[in-house]
Amino acid sequence: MNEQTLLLRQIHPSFVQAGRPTSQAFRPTPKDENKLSVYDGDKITPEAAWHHFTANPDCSSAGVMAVTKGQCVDLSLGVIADGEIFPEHVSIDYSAFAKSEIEKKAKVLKGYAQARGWLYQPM
Amino acid sequence: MNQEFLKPRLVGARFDQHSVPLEILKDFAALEEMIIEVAKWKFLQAHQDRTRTPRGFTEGLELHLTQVEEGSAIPVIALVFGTLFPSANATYFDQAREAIIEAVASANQNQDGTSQLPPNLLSYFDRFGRSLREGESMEFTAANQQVARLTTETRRRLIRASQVVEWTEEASLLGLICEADQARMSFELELKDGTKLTAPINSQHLDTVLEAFSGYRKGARVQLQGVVKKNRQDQLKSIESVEHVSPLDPLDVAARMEELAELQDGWLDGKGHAPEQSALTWLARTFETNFNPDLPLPYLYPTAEGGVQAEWTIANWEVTLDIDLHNKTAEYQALHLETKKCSERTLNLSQQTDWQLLNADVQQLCTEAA
Repeated sequence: MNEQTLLLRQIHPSFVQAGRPTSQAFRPTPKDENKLSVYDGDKITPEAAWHHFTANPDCSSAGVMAVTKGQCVDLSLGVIADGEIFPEHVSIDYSAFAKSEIEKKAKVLKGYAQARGWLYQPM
Repeated sequence: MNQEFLKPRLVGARFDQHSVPLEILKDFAALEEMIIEVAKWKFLQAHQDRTRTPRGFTEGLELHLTQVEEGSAIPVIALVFGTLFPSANATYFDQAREAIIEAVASANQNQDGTSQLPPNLLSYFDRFGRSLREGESMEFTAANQQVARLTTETRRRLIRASQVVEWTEEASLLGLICEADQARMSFELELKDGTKLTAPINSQHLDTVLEAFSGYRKGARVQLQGVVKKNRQDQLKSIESVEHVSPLDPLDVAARMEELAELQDGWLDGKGHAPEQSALTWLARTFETNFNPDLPLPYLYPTAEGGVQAEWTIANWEVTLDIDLHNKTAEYQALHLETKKCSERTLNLSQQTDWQLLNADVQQLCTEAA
């Protein structure tokens, strides 16, 4: 991974309204131990990541958006290529921040991802 | 001349102003037809040697709405006759009224009403009572002072007893228009669950229907109000008539709440609490009442905790309102993406004053962006 590496994020269908994603898609839920799961874009394409994610029947995705590792680092967010769940798995670490700060960073990341646009959407 | 015939008491919020919505009059028109047919049936019961009622059985007898009394609203229906005294046949009108009231009373007791009326006459409840909404009722007082309440539930029970294959109900539906046939003047409304219902196109709705049809792939939804046909399993079969069809704002709050109401626990990839339906209904109502309609509507998303998050993008401002539906509170945060200027506040959404604060905050950002 380098600063330009795309971190691919699956966007849940309920997190999209009229084509617009919510900033919630870019922050961990309370049960995520403050870590947001993404795919390493250097190791997997957006389309392959979508197919990998939705192969789990519990998981839904309206498509794939992305931020870069550099954009996360600029927000003081740790980017950890842990490969824990699967080899391409990366965690964006929000654990150093309080709820209000997490929401601000999520807004900024959503803005970056939205400016980049959808990298993959199923037909 | 006329004599007081029936004074049903209409109960529900729509009748609190001691007035009667015009759409309810359709029900009373159906009731008049029903009373005439039940009166004929009563006559034939009393004259078993006859196979039909005499010519002119109902001549000179009509039911008229003469006034609306208070409490909550009580339309006064009179039997009007062209002679000094009512004809002898008027007695069968009285018997018909009592039989109908008794049928409703029996439905209140979880019976099917067939002891009072035969199934073919119970089928009039398809149209009589159709305008009632959930929580509303029509109360009838019989000659013996027994009170019978016609509600949506008792009406359903009576219709089921009528053995009709299909019945009709007034309904408000949201959907997409996936097909429009100008030769047949019909269209298909596709509901969220994929059900497709055929409806007639009225000429006054043609432009709206065609516009929504051309916007199908872009998700252009419409709200349709009209009469739907249901089968005995309570499943929608078709749309019998359309009163109103109007394009929906893509961000319509009530429509979005209906979508979110379909979420189940575990909706977020196995996690995520589903928001409570009653809380979503409350939010839709309170939003409509308190949010300034001149301001842009927010995007609305469920939260993993069972709440709702409203979001606005206003120029470089990203605004979120994280709503706790249980406590009816919300965390407001507006962040300027370039300057990183941020304002935050906690709002009590049960308080009108806090809605005014929200309106003022969003208005200020809109003014700044203009």
